[in-house]
Amino acid sequence: MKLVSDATWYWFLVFLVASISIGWPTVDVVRLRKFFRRPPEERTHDELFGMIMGLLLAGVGGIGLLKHFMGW
Amino acid sequence: MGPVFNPANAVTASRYLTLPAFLYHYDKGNIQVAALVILLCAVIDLFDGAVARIFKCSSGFGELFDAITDGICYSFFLIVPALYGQVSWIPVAVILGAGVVNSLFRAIYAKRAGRATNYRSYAMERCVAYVAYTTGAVVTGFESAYFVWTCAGFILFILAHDAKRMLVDPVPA
Repeated sequence: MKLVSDATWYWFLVFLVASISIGWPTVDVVRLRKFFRRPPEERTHDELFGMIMGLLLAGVGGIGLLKHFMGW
Repeated sequence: MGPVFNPANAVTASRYLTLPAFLYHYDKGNIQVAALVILLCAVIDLFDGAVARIFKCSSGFGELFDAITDGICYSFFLIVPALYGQVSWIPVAVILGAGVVNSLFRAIYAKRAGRATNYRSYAMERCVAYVAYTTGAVVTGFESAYFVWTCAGFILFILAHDAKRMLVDPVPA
C-alpha cells in the first residue's frame, strides 16, 4: 500500500530530514545564547553538555543528508 | 506526586498503540505507513509534557513513564527492521544495550533518591530524539547504516558521561 508515489515520498523524506537538520541546531543555538546570558551560578554543566551534544548530533544528521546527495 | 492515572500519562500510554500498527504495516511492506506511524509516535511524545502542564498533573512517575515508553517504542522500531535483516544487528544491539543500562542506572538513581524520579539528562534527551530520527532512517532505508552506527556511538558516549552523575554524584533534594 502506497500513500503517495515513490518520488513524492522521497522528496517528503528529504524535506523532513532537511527541516530537522536545520531546525534542530537553530533551536540549540538559541538555547545556547540564552544559556550564556544567564548568571554563571544558574548555568549547569549538564545543560551545556546537552546543547553541545545536540549541535553535534544535528551536524552528524546534516552530514548524513549531504552523504546521501553527494554519494559519499 | 500526581496520580498515576492522569491525562498526561494517558497520552504517553497511547504511544503503545503505534507498536502493533507499525509491525503490521512493516510486515506487509507498507513502508510509507510504517514510517508515518513512527512519526506519529514521536509527535505524541511532544504533547505529553504540554498536557501535564495544562492539567497540572506533572509527576516524577510521569517523567519516568515517558522515558520508559521512549525506550520501549524506539527499541521496537529498531528491532523489527533488524529482525527483517534491513539493518545490522551490531549497532542495534549496542543501542538497545545502552538503553537497558541507562534504564538500570535510572532505577539506581531513583532508589538513591528514595522516590519515583527521573534523572534529567539534556544530552540523553537529544540522543533519544536522534534515536527516533534513526528509526525513521532505518525503516525508510535513508542512509540507514550511517545513522544507526553514529547513533550507537553517541549513545555510548552520552551514557558514559551520565553514569557518574546517576551513580556517584549526590542526588538533588
